[in-house]
Amino acid sequence: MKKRIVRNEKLQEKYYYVQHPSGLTILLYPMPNYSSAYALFGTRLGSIDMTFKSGSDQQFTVVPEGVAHFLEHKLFESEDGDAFSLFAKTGASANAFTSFDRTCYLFSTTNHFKESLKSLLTFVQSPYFTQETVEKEQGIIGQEIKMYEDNPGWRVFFNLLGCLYHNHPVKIDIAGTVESIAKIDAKLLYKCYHTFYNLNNMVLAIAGNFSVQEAEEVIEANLKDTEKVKLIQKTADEPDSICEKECLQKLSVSLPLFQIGFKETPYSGMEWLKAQMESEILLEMLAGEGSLLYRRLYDAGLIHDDFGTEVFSGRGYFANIFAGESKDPKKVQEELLKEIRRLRKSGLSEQDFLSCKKSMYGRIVRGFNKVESVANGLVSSYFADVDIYDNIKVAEAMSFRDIKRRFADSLDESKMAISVIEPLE
Amino acid sequence: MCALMSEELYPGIYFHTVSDERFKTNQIEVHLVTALDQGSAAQNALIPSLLRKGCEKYKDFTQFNRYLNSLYGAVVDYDVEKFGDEQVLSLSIISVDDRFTLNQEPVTEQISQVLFQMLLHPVTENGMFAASEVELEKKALIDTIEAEINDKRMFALRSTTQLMCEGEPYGLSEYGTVEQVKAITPASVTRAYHQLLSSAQIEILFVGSGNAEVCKQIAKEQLRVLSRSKSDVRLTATKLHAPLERMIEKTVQMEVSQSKMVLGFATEIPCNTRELYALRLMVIILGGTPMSKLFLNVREKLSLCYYCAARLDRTKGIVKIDCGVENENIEKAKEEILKQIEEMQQGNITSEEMKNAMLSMVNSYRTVNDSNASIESFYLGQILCGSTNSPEEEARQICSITKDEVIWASKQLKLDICYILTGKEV
Repeated sequence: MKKRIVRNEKLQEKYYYVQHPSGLTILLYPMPNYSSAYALFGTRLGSIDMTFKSGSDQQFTVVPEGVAHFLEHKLFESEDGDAFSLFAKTGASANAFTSFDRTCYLFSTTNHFKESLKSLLTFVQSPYFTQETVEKEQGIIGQEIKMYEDNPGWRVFFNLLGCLYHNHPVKIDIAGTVESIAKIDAKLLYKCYHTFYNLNNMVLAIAGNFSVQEAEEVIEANLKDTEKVKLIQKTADEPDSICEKECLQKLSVSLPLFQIGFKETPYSGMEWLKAQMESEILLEMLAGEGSLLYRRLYDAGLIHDDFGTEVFSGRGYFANIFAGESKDPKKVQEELLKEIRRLRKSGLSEQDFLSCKKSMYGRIVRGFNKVESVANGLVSSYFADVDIYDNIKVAEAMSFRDIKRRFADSLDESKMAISVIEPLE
Repeated sequence: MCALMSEELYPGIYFHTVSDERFKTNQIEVHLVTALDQGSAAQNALIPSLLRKGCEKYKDFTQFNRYLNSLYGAVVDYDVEKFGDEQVLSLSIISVDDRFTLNQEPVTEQISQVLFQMLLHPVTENGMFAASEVELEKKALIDTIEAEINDKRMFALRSTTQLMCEGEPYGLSEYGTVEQVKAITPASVTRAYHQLLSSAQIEILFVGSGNAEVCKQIAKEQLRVLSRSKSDVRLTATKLHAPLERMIEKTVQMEVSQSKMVLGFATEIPCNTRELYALRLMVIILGGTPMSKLFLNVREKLSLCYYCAARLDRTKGIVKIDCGVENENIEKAKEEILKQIEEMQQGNITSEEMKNAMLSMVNSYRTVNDSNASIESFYLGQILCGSTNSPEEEARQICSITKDEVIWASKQLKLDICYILTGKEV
């Protein structure tokens, strides 16, 4: 095992970066005096990974929508029962999630850390799918999908992604549809599992109260060797332009919900981190609570305190989003555009930049307060090919010039779309 | 581990500290606790949203937020909640501890000052909240009330409480009604604000690694102006919910793709009793974890639901079970839920189920210590229930419960209401 220590002077903290011979990357971040340990075992398989070939495959496999999420549900089942029952014996709380670009299995425990870690490693490495259990899960996930169909916040977001992206699978709902998951069978799940659940494609991150030595012992004893799979993924051919300018849907809500999005150039690695953080500051300066635009919209009764911004990015997608509830979303969009145009002429304020930068620094430090946010930060950084402490460095080095350049390169009106959920009637 | 230190600063005003140097932040919250009452609920609910917008020193909302940004992105938050028959109005601030500032700035002192300035010296015009601000926040509050239908699961749970506890303060909305909000004037809300400052129970919590003494001194100095006397302060009291004479069956139709069902039960088990720990454990075994009876049967065995969970409101002795389900499966799900309760009443609880539920609760109690937000909300709950138990003590109590006590607790469940929100028939 190759092991190195990564330190940060500002936080006076460190973690261990371990490269296991099996190909698995292990990130161990002990946090003294915390009660709980939080572990995440993740693979680079998300809802966007729909077209791939591996090993000796001649043809690309195109999977139905929602496979990664379905696989996550089914991995909890083994030949001898449910993985939850393993954790129940130690009191650990276990869970899993599937996002656009990853699937993660996790537990949080204050006791019997070694047993819990063993359980996590064991069940994720022991797939067991049968036609019967797959069919049973179709009913459960069907209800999860229906729950999201009634969720206006979820719908307004995916409708926006549908406007911004022509082909990129980020526009597809993570859980798929009732129809798409009906096409899933045990054979397909095994195919996806053996392609993506390869230790070379995975990461294990642990933060909180645990002993590094104990963790290493458990890991050493419980990793199953896998052969490195040659994985070729077909990336969607996505033009720079947007697909639709607007999308309206009616649901039983009291007030319209909206999301206004600008499609931006996607990046990877450190370039991505810089773009992500600069955009966050830019949106804060433009529409945060300390901005003139926020004030104008709020005082006109056009937005509420739930109005906010998000920089949404990942493998092959990047969007700046403004979201909230409003009696008149179109008016909000108009005001936003007016403000962007005004700032393009008059320029951003350096004073604003400095206070937003300080605020960002505070937010980053706060992120190191909790074991789960540290563990999640480790996994996110790993999948993005950056280090968990890189955001501190990027924040420190960020200049007003960087933000001006970012502004010049983003928020292009021709790549803007709006998604609105309107009340019925 | 994280002990709570409490001190009464003035009559009915308490300062609680949980000092913990692991944290890189300090979080300070002020909670005004008052009776949830038809006449004052809406007025009171408007107050936190007015207070959070600035203070005399930073009158302008935009300037105020820029100042907060310069305090390392100090986050001001506000909340209106219902806790039993009480209405809790909260204002809070959080930022990094002085140790993590770039130039050794006294952020803890600065955020303490700001918080109490907001509470005691809000922006006013001629001694009243400004009419324009009041109008703006009234509209926002009305929108909040109306937006409750957006989240169908929460809406179904809220509606169940309202029907089940009609006539009790707990059956009221913590926001009041739209009509009550509309009737608010700058004069009436200013009056309500002064009334709260003079008579509400005020709970201040400081959780973090910084110097709590600095914050306490600022609180002491600033709150002196209230010059309270003992007789001014109203004592809190929540009454247990008594079972209804006639069970309510309510079905509401809306355009939804999934139906929601909520079953509400009365138990008449009071807070801070051994019986309540038994009830708590019973609820966990029934529907609190992925190993619970509801999860394993309603979801895993019958594939009827994605979620089917049980929850306890300890202040009122109420248990609620809710699920999202296909319209045609509502009866099936209800039958299975009631069957699982019966199983418990008949003593069909394995020692493994007992042990797993205890371990799971011990784990969640011990995890409370790991974030300032969870420490804060745990202790606020304890304070409002009149308990001083630490999370560790709560865990010990749970672990002493026997199977017979759990069976007894399950027998106290009396079905008060079956609430169904369903799609419109085509």
